[in-house]
Amino acid sequence: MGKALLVAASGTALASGDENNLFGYGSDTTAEANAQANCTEDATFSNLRASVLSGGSGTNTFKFRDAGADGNQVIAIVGASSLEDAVNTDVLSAGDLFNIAYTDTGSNSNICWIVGNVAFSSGHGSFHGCAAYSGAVHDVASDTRFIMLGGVLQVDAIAVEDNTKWKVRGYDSFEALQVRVTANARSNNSIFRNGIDADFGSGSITFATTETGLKTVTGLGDAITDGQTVNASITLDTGIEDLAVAFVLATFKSSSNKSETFASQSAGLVREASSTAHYTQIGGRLPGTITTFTEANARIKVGFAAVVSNLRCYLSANTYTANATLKLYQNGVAVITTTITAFGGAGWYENATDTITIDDDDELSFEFDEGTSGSITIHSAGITFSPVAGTGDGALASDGVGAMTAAGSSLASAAFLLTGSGTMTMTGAALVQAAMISQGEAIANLEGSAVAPGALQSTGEAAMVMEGASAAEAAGAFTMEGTSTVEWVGQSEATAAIAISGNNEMTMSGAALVQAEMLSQGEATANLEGAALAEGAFQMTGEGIMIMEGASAAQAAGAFAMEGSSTVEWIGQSEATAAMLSEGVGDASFVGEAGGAPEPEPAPSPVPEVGGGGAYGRPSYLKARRRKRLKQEDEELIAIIQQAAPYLMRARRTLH
Amino acid sequence: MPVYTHILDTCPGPSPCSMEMESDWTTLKQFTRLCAHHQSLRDGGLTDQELLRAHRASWKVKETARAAVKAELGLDKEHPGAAYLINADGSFTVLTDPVSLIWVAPDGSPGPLPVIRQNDRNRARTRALAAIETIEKPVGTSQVTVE
Repeated sequence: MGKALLVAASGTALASGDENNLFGYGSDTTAEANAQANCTEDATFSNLRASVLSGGSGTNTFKFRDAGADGNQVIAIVGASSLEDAVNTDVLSAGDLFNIAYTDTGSNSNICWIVGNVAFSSGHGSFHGCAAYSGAVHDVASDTRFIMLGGVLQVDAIAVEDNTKWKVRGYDSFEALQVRVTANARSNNSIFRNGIDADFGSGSITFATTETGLKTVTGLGDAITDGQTVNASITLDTGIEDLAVAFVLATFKSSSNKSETFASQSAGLVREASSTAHYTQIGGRLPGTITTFTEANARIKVGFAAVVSNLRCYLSANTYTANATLKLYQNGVAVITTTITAFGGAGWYENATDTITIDDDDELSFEFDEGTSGSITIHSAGITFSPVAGTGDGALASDGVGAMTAAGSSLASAAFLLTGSGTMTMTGAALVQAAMISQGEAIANLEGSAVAPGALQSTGEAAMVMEGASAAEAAGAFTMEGTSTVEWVGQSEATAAIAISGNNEMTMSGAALVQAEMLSQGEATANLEGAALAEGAFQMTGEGIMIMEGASAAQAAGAFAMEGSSTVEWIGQSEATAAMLSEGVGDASFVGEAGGAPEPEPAPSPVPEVGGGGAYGRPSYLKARRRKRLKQEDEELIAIIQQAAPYLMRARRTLH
Repeated sequence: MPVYTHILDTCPGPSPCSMEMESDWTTLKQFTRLCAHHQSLRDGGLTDQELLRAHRASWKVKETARAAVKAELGLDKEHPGAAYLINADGSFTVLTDPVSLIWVAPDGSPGPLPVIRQNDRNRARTRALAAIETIEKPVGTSQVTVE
């Protein structure tokens, strides 16, 4: 549900009319079909951005394409510069085809990268793949070769599997595999498989003789555990006829809302030892030479807030005579260092300890440095993104149809604004310290032990659910307008004023405690269904309805006023210890054991009162006789209840 | 439960045919989408299995012609194959002109290309058409021309 990062980087200059995509990237193509990938999940693409390194003398336009038609996202970069479409999004359904189209009005562009964000509608994950959109020929007979899920798709793939592996820290499911074949002169089957930890996964794609097109297997659900590696493979049968492959793309998911990015070159990028630092981008194809980028033009904006960890790289050779470093740069400053140990040989080099937290506009890059003499051969370098536990330094907003999830121990210290039809779920111990506003049809779920000491406001048709295993608490002002609904599930406590107007309905179904003023106006309905205790003043106007239904006791300790045609029902053992005033045609019913003060005077006549209305809307003499009998027969029991009430109140406060 | 999908690249227009297959990748479960051209063949009376046979024959004639052109023109072993057009009636036009044969290697370097004269193109056309002549072409098989 959260965003992940997609990065493509090319070694070729883009010419007007070229087609490409948001992953891997070797050569581009003028045939759009060759670059079209299958969006295997319902997903929202956003924040299309690109950086032109050189060339591109005119206007360089990058368009998101959805099923062969222009999407909403577009950027037009003038000259060698970078640009982002921070406004438009493209919402795709599973099975839709997507790609990026490039046109220009001047010279060809050499690009640093093309980047976008993707957010799956269900679960959290991303796409990782390699590409040579014009087609990389495979023709090694009777052999299995290996394919890295990033960077350039190499001709004949790679013989050494280790050089194609990516060590996974964030994903736990290999969900889908897709392969596009653009030319096929083979006389027998060509088989692609997903790989996990040097073994075949359950995904298998077969291209029979002369078959071309895009084949996808979805719904794999192959489990990946922390530290396992992933890749893909191709197995050719006899014969040396050509099979041209445009890309191999995988879909991964993470149940812990993590994602990853890595830059790669399965053929290997050699760096000689040097005291001059060299920089690469954090995704897509590693540059053709280590000197291609400065730090400034290697930078990529990630596009979402995250905790970044596990800075790592795989080297197939390391003959450095002194320690070297791989560093993660954040906005031009080194923030995490992984040591590349002298004479370390082939293997993974990883800093599994240090983390940083980034905002959605932070820019990251990689730096390789030092070594004295010797060289390393780099195949991949990458990082893992985790959700920020306790997000909330800045304002969080969910608009449109996007969903926002805070799965950890959530802290929102800034304003929350939910508009449109978005859903926000805070499943941990949720603390909302500032104003929280849910507008339109937005849904806010605070499912853990929820505390909202700031103002809560629900307007329009919004729904808000506060469901705590132990307690749902709103210490700030609480306002409901329009036709919104609020449910308090669990032991609910509102220590500040509650105001309900319009057609709203509020239900507090746990042991409810409303310590401050509660105002129900218009046609609003308030249900206090548990052992309800309302300590503050109660006021009902218009046609409001209030029901206090307690398993043990419903109690109103503050002043109680009813006006207009409002209705109050007290169900269970009910008690009102303060003054009660009923005007207009209001109706107050005590269905259970009712007691309280002051006691009303018996009615002089059996005729029900009209208009000015007594303290009780039912015939007063019946009420008086019933109350008298109750007082005589149950006086002792009522006394016990009255004595127990303070202890109940104290017990509730202790619980909270 | 895995789902096996084959989206074709041999259909005219932006919405190509899409097939859901069994895990053996040879048995058709269903067509999940038909392009306008193949929908017209369906409307003309072809069954799903007949449409599948037509697709397979179309792939075979196209790829056979492209392979013949590549071989006859002496294109580099790593050349990704002669470009082709898909016409509105579903037929293919395989291109042999030097501009359409320009290619870029996956590492970004320009791919080598031999000198191609009109005679070379004529020979390639003759060889390609001869190669596809013996291929069985059930109803609905796309035609191939070589320019």
